[in-house]
Amino acid sequence: MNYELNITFFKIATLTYLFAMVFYLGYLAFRNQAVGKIASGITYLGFLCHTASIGTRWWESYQIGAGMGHVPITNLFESMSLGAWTIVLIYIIVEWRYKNRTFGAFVMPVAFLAMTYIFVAPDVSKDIEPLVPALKSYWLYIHVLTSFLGYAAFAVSFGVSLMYLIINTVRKDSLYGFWTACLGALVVIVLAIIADWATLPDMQGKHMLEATFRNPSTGVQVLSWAGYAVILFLLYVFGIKLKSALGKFQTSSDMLDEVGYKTIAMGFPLLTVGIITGAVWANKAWGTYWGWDPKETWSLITWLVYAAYLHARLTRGWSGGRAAVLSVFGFFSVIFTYLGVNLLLSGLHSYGSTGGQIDKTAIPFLLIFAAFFAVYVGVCWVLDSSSKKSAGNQAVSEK
Amino acid sequence: MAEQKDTGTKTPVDRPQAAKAARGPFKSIWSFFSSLKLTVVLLIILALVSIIGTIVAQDDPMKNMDMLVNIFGQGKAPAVLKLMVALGLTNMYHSWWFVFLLMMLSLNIAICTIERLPRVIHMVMKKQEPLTDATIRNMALRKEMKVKGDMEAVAGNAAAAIKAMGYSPHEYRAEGEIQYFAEKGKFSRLGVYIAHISVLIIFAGALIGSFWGYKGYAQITEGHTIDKIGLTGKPLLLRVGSEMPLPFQVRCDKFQLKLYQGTDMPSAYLSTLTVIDNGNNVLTKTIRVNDPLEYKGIRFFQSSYGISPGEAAMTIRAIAKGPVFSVHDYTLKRGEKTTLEGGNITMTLSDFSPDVVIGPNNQLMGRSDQYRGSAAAILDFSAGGKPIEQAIILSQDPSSQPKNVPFTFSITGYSGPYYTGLQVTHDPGVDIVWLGCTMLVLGILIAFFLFHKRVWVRVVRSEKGQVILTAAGSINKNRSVFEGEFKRFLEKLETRHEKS
Repeated sequence: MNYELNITFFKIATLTYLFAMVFYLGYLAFRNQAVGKIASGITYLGFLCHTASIGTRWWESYQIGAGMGHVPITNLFESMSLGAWTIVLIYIIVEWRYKNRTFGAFVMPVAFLAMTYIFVAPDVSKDIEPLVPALKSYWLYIHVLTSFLGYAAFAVSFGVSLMYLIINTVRKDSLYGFWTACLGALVVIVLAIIADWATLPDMQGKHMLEATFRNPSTGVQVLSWAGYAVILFLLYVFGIKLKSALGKFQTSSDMLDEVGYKTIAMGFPLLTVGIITGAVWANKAWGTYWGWDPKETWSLITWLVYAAYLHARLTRGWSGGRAAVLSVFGFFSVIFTYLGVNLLLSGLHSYGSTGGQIDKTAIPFLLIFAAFFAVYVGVCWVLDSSSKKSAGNQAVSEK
Repeated sequence: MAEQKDTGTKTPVDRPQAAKAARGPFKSIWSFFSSLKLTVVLLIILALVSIIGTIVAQDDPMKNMDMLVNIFGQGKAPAVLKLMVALGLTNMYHSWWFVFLLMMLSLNIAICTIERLPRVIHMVMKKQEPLTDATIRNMALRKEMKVKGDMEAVAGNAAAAIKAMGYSPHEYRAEGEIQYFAEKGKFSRLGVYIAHISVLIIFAGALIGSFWGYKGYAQITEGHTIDKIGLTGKPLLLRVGSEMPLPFQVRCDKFQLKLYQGTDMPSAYLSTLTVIDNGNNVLTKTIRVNDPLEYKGIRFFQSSYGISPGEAAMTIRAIAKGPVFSVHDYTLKRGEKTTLEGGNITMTLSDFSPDVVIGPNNQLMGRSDQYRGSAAAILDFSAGGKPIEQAIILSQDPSSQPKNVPFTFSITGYSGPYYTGLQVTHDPGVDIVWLGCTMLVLGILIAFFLFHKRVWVRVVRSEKGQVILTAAGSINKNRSVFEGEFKRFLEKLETRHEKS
């Protein structure tokens, strides 16, 4: 007998999130309350299916017998499904708490992307697998759960921060280019995954983005990059329209700034507990609480970026645009901690990696990330020093 | 100074007064390290440089060489690797400059704490003071109302309203004035400092571990006892060789490999270990992954297993080629000999390996000590003391057979006592690290989610003889949460008093 009820629920949930995303975008475009309510309704439905998927998977693992039963958070498929689930959960809480549906258009794509990614990614087994002895630990469950709740809080902060940047920049601002580039990358990845889904009948053994950027045909590759450039250009030119569409909701910038901060204030303690419980688990399994393995190091990098955010905000008065950009960088670091390490680097956590070798594509990616981050923070630093007085006054006057 | 906008009262956290008057080298160093700007810079630098160690393999020159040859080509790769080693990139997290950055951060945290903590402790120890005309104006939340009734009654009602909010009010009386005030959570102001000191405690624990702690391994065959371990991680402050004697002995009673029913996937590795101290069996425990044995601060972790190579035996099946069909299994250790049934041929198992691969020049190379269907055995045959021939039997190649012996051979088993592979660690700093971690989480939770809240109600009689009630409140952060509470407090006050 096949235990695949959970996969069916998973597929329904993924599709539902796609529809929710479309409706949230429609809500942004047409400002129709009914569309917004439908979007929320679809999200709740998707969340229910998703919960059912995780629940049935848990139940099915016990049905298999042979001592295979376990909480479904231990392989790449299960952990990513849980990640998307926590993102939607935190989003639903924020939507309900702040009575505002505009964030949905930014948060749902993240959940949808995560879900589709594991569904189409090669070498990601969707089967229920027996636990290897090292994973049999209650510390692991706490570690995974707290880490993911933290990641999800950061994801929501990312969505809200992006929205803050869109609303509060004009084309001549340097930050305008920043958010169009970030949004452009997201849009391109969504389209590329949809292309993978639509054109490749069987994803087994194929690479992600094989339909576009990694297509065996050079022509298609060139076309893909050209398409990327066109999308970036269009976003740059018409981004101002998105700004005015969002502006019509009269979402207060202060509120976005506050949600961006509060979700990080929620995520930071969770990430801290996640890292510490991970250390406790490692100490029980291998006798070393910290071994500088790439996953550990990247979780520390993420922690440091958010620690810098909190210090800059609470003691240097960085709020608004600069805080939003730090939040966006923080989330890139989260994505890399979670996915990049497994797919590109190797180490103890490499349950998702296909080999021990370092993927050369990781290096330019990381260098660009680091350079971008360093240059940005440096520029902010100079501005901070030269105009500290005016920034301070501005922050105070926001009262 | 830039003040975070939901901060209610102003606390000068940055650029403390002492630093401004700094003169002389010591004071300028002190003021450099007491800057919160430095904290943000250090956090960001640490985040950025840490990336390097996740790309460059740590303590793995082979892997780095492969990567460099890939990027720079065979010619330049050794020079680049040399440069990387010189810069400490191949053992980055222990390099002098990374340790230096961590020391800078520690100094920064320590000096910031010394600079600010006394003032905060003073603030926490200080009793809440009654409002004066001067301080009342600084209150972020306040409301004044004229009320009917006699001062005592109004003040009594105010005290009751404060109590109803879950505070315990203090009383203050002066000429023509009564005040009730109360505060909650003033110790939450210490949360930030608990969090920061805890980072220093974690560093201290880690240092203790690297000074006096060590890491090693041991292989114990079932029934055997060890009294020393091989070292992989040496303590920085103790002089030791590559082996470390244990202050007791450890015996492996039994090793068991459990599989998931009906599969070949391992579900548990179990080793039963007994600690022998001064000739007495003091402790027996069955360890598994995630559940080590600890004795006198030394911990033993389940790490690997296998059949003990020195005592292993291989089972060789011999099938007679002759007219009488016969099958016999012979289980032999290395170097043992036996006489084959139904003949006068002696077979010696000269050598074997449970897992071999065939190398580029057709030579056999041992790969591991796990028996998984690619074993090899070297058999020597003789009759009446005269050697006949030598044959190599491979599990993967049934055609590898002797030519002058009337039997067909195959490898059907590999057995012997198991050894258990143990990771051994001693880390005297680990409990201090856990103490720091607990404090860190508590400190962060207190700093983010507990607040110092204060309320005052001041009742005065004005010159015209009216009774004026002033309610005020303050919170050290997150004003929006407190605004709701203060509003409810005002509503309670208002229902008790008719406005005049």
